[in-house]
Amino acid sequence: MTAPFDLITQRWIPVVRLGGGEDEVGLAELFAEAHKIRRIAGETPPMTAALYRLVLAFLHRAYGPEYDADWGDLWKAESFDADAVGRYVNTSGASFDLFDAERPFLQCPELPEAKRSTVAKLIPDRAVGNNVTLFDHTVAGDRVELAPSTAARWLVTAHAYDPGGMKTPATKVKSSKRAPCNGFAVVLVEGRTLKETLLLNASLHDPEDPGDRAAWERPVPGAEPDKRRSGGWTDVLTWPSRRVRLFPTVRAGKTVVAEAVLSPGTELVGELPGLEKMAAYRTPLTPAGRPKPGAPMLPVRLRPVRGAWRHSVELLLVDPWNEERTRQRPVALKELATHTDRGRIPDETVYTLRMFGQQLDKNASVVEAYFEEAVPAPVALIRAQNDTDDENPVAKLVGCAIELADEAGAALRTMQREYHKEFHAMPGESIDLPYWPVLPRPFGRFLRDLNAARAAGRSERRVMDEWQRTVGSTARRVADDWAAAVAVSGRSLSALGKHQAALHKRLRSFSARFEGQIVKYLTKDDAE
Amino acid sequence: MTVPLDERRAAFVKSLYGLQAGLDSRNTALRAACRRTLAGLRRGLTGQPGIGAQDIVFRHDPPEGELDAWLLVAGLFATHPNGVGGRRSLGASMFALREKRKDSATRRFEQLLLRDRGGLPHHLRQVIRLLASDGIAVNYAGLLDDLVILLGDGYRGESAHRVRLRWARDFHTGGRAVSAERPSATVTTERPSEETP
Repeated sequence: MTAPFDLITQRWIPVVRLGGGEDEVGLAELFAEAHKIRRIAGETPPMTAALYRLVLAFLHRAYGPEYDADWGDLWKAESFDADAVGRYVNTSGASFDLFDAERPFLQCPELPEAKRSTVAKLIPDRAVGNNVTLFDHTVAGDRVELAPSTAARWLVTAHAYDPGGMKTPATKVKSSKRAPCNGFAVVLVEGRTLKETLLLNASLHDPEDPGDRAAWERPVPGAEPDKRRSGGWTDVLTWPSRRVRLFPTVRAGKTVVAEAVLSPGTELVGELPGLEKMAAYRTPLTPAGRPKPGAPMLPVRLRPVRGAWRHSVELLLVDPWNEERTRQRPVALKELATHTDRGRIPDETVYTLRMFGQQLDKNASVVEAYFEEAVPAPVALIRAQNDTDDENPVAKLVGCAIELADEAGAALRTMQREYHKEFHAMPGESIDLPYWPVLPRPFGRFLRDLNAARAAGRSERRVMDEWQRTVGSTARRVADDWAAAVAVSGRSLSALGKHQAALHKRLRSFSARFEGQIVKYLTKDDAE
Repeated sequence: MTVPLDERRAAFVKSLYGLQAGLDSRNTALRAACRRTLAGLRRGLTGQPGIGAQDIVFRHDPPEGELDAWLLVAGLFATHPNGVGGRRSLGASMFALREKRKDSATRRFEQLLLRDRGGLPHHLRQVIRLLASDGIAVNYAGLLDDLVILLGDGYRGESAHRVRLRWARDFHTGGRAVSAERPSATVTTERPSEETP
């Protein structure tokens, strides 16, 4: 007989305390101690994102907030009302037992027991099925046994991030679409404590809305996959994209999960920009840099090497002319501006925008990479807009800064390509690799300094000049290092010099254009 | 108190440029003295530092590790006493040569880039003679800084590679785009006093 595992009281969510210590907490403790917890920290970035989404859905169902004033009360309070969790659990009719016989948490008890196989199918970095043995050294023959807490975490992660492809069919249907969060970068505004983080990412929620319910409150789904529209935000946050059944067993007196069934679940019908609030969107641009006419808005996704900071304009900055037309920021950032306007958050605050993503292979069936990135989110910049004009000068300044880095990166690639073309050689490792990863930290400093300059009403000239110097010197240093690594003969060294000289010329022309562009957006002060 | 190395190098090149100015002097004795000194420095290229080397090179107390570079620059200058200041490298002078001699200058320059510590002095002498025949000036202060690296212990290292790469860049731009990392070594021409050399 296996023991129940109550997700409200049992420890299963990994967190980092304010002092830096790692811990695991249940949902009740998480809310009771949220003001003493720094953040949720899962084993992988997608797990962290999935757990945040689940906890956020729980917050909405247990705490609301229904009205803006309710949000203000929650923000002002030192901690969450710990009793609210118990009240919600008692009245919701939901079961939070992972192994409940009739309503196991986020599972489908109708899945046939005969189809069960290893629980490793829930874990994308284990060698099983399409996942080949790579760095992890696991093989498909390994017997995997998970503690209930670990199994619960991977269960939540699978619903949000399971790749598409063939799954174990309940009867016939075995093809599945990738789980929803694979399609975009989950954006989270991170405060100083978990309480702040949860509230900063919470939108208003009507607990009486019959459609807007979390998955655990809905009827237990049938074994067969289906598709439907979402009933509301908490429904999206806990979307049952898979039918899962965990099979607990007792090993050495302890309950473990060694087997499970992972089957296609419910497909989400609808356009993402209208459904998903934790993502940024933009219309693809033409080569001339203008939004492609008639093209739909696509979610911002994380890519290897280049970094999330390059999307800072789409993520952070309001553009009254383009907002909701060719661009859409994560809802939490819009709400942040509202809370600041109401005096709840000081202008000089700098939060962190944390982004989580997962990249699948071209068949969308195997996980290729996880991403977790952070970008500073200075409140003054998020709020900054020019009511009298179509253009937001801050957005333009940040846009110019990102464009300069993009152009310098492109110039480096051109130098590498032209050099190899001259010798009819195949390019080696991309020169992007040493260039892009250097820039996030200086860019973070740039945003914070820009925020400080605007908050003080100073000209942003010095900050922009510093960024220009950083990009130029980084590109030149990367070009030098690359040249040092290229095997040289007299002719190739001369050719290297030629292409480097062309690079320097391009960098100078970009800098000149940058200076010309930013002049019209700078705040005028005595120094200007 | 020991004079800083940068200042010693600058004073040395200044002395060389003083000889260049002396060649144009209306004082015939001074002109003859300058010619004698330059002849002595040229002899230094054959491995026998003459009397000019004593006055011009050793007077500025060259460090042991840089002596070869100082003597070579003195000899090259004596071969082609047409120095300029600024920050252009030998690549920029070769750029000017290419404007006149096209592909032969390119080949010569590519060979120059390949020479290591042993072969560089010989090849440099040929290059400087070519530059002299076409009247193209050389920045000897910059050349000294570069040769200290190319003939020093780190002649196979990253610094030497950077020097060659800068020469290569200047060869294609004419030195119009001076890299920001280039150390400044501006030398002004000064007429030697009537007593020297």
